[in-house]
Amino acid sequence: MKVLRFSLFVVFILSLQAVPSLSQDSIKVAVPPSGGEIRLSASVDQTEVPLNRTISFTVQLKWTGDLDKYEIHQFDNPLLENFEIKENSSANRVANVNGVTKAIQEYEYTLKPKSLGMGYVEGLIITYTDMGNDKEYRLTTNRIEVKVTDPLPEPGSKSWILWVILVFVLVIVVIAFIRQAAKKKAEKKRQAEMEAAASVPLEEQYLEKLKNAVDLDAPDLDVGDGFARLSRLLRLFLAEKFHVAGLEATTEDVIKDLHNKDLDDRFVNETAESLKKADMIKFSGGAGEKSELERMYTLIESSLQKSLRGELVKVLDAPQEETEE
Amino acid sequence: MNIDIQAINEKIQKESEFVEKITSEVSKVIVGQKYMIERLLIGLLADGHILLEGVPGLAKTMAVKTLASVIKTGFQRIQFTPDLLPADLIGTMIYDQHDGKFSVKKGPVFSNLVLADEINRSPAKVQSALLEAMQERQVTIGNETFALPAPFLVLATQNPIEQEGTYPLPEAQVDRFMLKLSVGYPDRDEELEIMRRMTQPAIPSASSVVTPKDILKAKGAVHEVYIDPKIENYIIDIVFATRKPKDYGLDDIEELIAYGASPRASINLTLAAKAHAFIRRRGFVTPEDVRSIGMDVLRHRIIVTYEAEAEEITAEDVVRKVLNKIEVP
Repeated sequence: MKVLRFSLFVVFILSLQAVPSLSQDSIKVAVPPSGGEIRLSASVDQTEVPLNRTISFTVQLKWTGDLDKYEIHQFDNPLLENFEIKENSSANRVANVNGVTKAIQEYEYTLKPKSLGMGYVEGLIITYTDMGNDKEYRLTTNRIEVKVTDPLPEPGSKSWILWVILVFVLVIVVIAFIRQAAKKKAEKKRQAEMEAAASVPLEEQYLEKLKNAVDLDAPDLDVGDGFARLSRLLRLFLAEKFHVAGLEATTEDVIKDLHNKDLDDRFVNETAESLKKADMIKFSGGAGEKSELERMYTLIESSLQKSLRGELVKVLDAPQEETEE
Repeated sequence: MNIDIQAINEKIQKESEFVEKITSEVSKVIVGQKYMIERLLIGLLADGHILLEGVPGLAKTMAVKTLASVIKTGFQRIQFTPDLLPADLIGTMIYDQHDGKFSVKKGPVFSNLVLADEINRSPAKVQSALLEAMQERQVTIGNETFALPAPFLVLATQNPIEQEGTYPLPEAQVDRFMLKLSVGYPDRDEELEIMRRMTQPAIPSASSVVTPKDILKAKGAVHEVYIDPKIENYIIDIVFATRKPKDYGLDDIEELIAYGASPRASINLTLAAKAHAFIRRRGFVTPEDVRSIGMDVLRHRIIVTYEAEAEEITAEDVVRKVLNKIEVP
């Protein structure tokens, strides 16, 4: 989630464009003797432009009346310093505003800077003829200056970073999804196994484990190791079945705990015998006899079977004979 | 490695015969305190000194005195006071007017069993003199160095309730004691028996049943007690769990331990476990031996943090958690 937030932040930062500078205008208004008014405006859309970007220089003539009221003479392209014209276009428009006809002639130049520093659009002289009196007039715009700044990174160079981030985010999302799915699957499997295990009595599970723990018929049987395995298995069973600290407590403590649990004395004594014998073999450096290992195996097996039949717990609430007073 | 465990067992059985005689003789005088008597024997057999902590009147002095009489060995009791000097302890050079020479007057430390009563009542220089003698088992007076007699066992007592005007033993010096025993009150039946026994006209006494020679021989046998690598690793696990509890799934005590047990703990736990097995008349060490003696070896070697102290968690609580968590082999 943190990575996703970071990625979005980076995308946001990268998507921010340089804020364009305020446009610069040059407006001239001429009042011909025949009456009416013609307005000339020249403007650039920004006063600062990166070297690898363009600006728009717009010249607009606006007057009240029809388009043919004035005839705008052909004029030369504006004189430019540190700029070159990339494109130019012109458009005529007539609009009716509150019953009054307005005519607009617009000339737009797309200018590209040549080098860092300042660039200038010199004043433009426009001549026109008032068709009402057939006289010629002229209008001039002011010089406009534009600052040329360092080039911006090209959109292409930005997009690969975006792509990398997007791919990175996508990979993380996919990995997270896969991990989540795997976790859910494992959890389901574990639950299924637990449910399956729960349906098999603990004693049966341990009888199965007992078979796998030691193979008494194996020719290369390690008797000492066998005692260690059987002791551990028995302790695990006692821990699970009777909630004693099977693996952390010493044999004496385990036996003491079992004595406190109202278990069949014979079972407790046999368990004590098995654990003590295993301790003797494990800690005395002796190898032990196979016959002793077989006896321990048999004792554990028989205890598990008795437990399965419910014969390990002492019958505490045996019916008492009623006595007549 | 071939170990003749049967031979070791037989030897231990033979050499440890006196243990029962000692305990039965001591019990003629001391009621209960089986735990303390057993630990005193462990200290004696494993060459480790003992720090006894308990309120006054728990028969600490009497137990040591009785043990000394039972093993027919020298006994000295030194009451530590604020004005005690190192020379009062280890001895000094005395000018003999007849000979016109300086002669050595040995101090009470030259004995087999030395009871340093209320060791924290004397300043650091006296404590250091005793602790140095304990460590080196020799004392230098003037230009001459004298070996202390064998067996040599120091039993120092501390009263846990009075702390005013005392000089608590520094941690590094406490570490030199093999065992620190916390002596508790007797139970009701024991108290009754003590009351009856001590109000008789004739106070019972114990007779000597063992010689220091027997003890020295037994000490040799203790070293022969077999300790399996599984038990050695169990001891290492216990000691390491006090240093890096997280590695042993004891995350809850990580913040409670400022300093874990030192390697001296591993050494003393091994020696004490061997002596415990010897007392049980067994030729090999079992996890029971380690668990039985573990608390006494470790309780004074773990320093708990301020957080633990604030929560009233003691070093004993920490040791108990460690012993209950580490899997026995």
